[in-house]
Amino acid sequence: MKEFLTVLIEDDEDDVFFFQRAMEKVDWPGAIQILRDGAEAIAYLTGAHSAADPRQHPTPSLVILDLNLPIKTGLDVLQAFRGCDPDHTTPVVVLTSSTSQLDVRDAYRLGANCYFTKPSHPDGLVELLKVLKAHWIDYNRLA
Amino acid sequence: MHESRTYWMTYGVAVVSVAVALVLSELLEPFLGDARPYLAVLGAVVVSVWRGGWRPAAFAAMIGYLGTAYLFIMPRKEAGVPRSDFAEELAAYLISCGVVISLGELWHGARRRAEQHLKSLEQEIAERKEAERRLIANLAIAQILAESPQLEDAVPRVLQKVGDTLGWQVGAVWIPDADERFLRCLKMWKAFPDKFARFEAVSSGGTFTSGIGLPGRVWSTLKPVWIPDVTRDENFPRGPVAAAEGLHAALAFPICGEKFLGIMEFFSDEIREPDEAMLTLFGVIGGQIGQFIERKRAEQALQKAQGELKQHATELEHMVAQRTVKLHETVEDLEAFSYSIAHDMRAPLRSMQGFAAILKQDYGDKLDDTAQGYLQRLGSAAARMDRLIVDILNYSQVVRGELDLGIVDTHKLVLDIIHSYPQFEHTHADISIEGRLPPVLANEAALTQVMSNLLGNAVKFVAPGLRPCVRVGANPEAAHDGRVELWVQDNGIGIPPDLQKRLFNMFTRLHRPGLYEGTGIGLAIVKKAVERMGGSVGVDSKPGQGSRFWVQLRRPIQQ
Repeated sequence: MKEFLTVLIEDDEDDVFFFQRAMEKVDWPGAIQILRDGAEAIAYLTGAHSAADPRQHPTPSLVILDLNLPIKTGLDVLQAFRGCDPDHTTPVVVLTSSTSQLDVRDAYRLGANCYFTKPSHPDGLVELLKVLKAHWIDYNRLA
Repeated sequence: MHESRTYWMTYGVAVVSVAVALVLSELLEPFLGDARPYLAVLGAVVVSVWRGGWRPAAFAAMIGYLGTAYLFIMPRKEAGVPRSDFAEELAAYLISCGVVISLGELWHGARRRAEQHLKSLEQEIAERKEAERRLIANLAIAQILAESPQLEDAVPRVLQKVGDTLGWQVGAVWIPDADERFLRCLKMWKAFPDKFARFEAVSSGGTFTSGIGLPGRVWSTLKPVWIPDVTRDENFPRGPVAAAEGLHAALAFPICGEKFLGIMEFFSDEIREPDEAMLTLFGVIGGQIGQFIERKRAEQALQKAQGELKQHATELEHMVAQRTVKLHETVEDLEAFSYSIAHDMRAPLRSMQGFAAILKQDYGDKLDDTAQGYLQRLGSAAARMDRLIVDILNYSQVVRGELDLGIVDTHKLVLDIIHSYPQFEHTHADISIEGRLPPVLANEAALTQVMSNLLGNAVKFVAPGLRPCVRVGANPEAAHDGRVELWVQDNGIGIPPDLQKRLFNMFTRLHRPGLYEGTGIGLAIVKKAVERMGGSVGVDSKPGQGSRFWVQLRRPIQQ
């Protein structure tokens, strides 16, 4: 069985730090690939499906996606990713500071599996990652 | 004088014819003898009665008798003719004269009556013809006025029609200038294009002030004027030119509707005596033309106004469309701006809060109490900032967002708020609903915001150490216009009356920072949201006796 690969698409340095700290605290398994902008994320995610060598571009097990990204937005990334993953085999968790109902709707329409707003306290993030780990890694069966 | 001469002439005829008769008698005496001495004189009486009537005839009979008596009877008396013969002859003469004169008079009477009849018949025909011409002119003018779309088209045709129909050779229309100081010639017409050139030049180049010349006279009196011969008129400056070109009679009348508009004048190459019927007719025609002009002007003004209105409406529509596009752009900009506030301002705040929390968690044991306190302040300041931003975003959402109204189950909505909001747990507040809250016409999200803000305030603003006691209720009949009133009663600190007005304004806080935390936006959101749902909001409160906030909203239409 291949290693669990989490792709975190997040441009904010501080948020990346909070993530890594919270992941340590909840014993998040496997490898973590961090992508800093929308264009990079699209290149990585679409390349994973077309690349000749799957070891260089392993298919992610779970994508955690921020919406407000430089160059290309999170919604663009989602659209491009779902374009080459029509079966929706890879779960995408949208985790963003946006509370806009429009963003929520668009995210689901483009194939997000769930939508969370970023907790303002580090403890909140730890709580959220506990839930995500339990759901997607401990209990959920991936395709 | 003329008549009296004719009258005396008839006596002259009598004298001459008697004289001729006597001479004839004298000459014919050798043939006639003296048997009929009065015969020739009787002929003179016949001539006299035929030429002059009974008076000259009687005069002729008398002088005929005297002449006959002198020339024939006297010599015969002297010759010894018996007296009885003379008496007989005289009687026959007198009777004959009587008969002749009577017959003559009868004939004269019959002739006079016949002549008179003929004359009156001719006069009647002439009058009828004249009336017919006036009628034709009148009808023609009415038709011209009805057909003409513009005043400019009507005026020359009216001039020509009046001139042709009623026998005038030159016509002109005069109108006052803008300040009504003088009249100037608007239009001229001539029956013969190659005649009256100088008169036309003098007229079309000239002006008349009130009372001067024919147009000025009509202007001052506003009555038609008829001049039989302008060349003999004292108040006619164009007289010499008129005389040189053979114009004589003139007629002018005012064109008046509600007010004076101008003058129409006509000239004839003949001397014409005033015709009362024609003057009356032109009084009427002037009125008709005046009404026509005023109607046309009103129509033109109306058309112009309608045109301007239409253009204005088009411009306005255009402007509205432009502004709407601009407004949409502005709203989009605002939305983008709000979004960037949400993300960009809250992100660093979250970092500050996060690092403060981590510092406290991971290095708390290495910090003394003062440093821990600073960390605490750092965290709470960031949290306050975060609340402020969230509140401003909520407010802007309430101000500009779509608020679709529907039937909202208020009772369930309030229960959900009480059970799901952690702040009500922390304060251990006693929150109860009185009776069952009726449904209202509202936007569920907005009403949730409203009720949670009111409930949040109710549990927050209580005296320290006191357990908040909040009651929520409804008064379906409180509002007179079919609205439902929802109220939230607390046991809080209350609000002084002079501050109640400012309470719902943005950033209004009635307390020092630290005592009661808040951004001063919550009630502004409540007010804006309620107003956007077509309702109203208010408060009844006294310091120290709690507050009762009420919200009036529309009742859903019963199915």
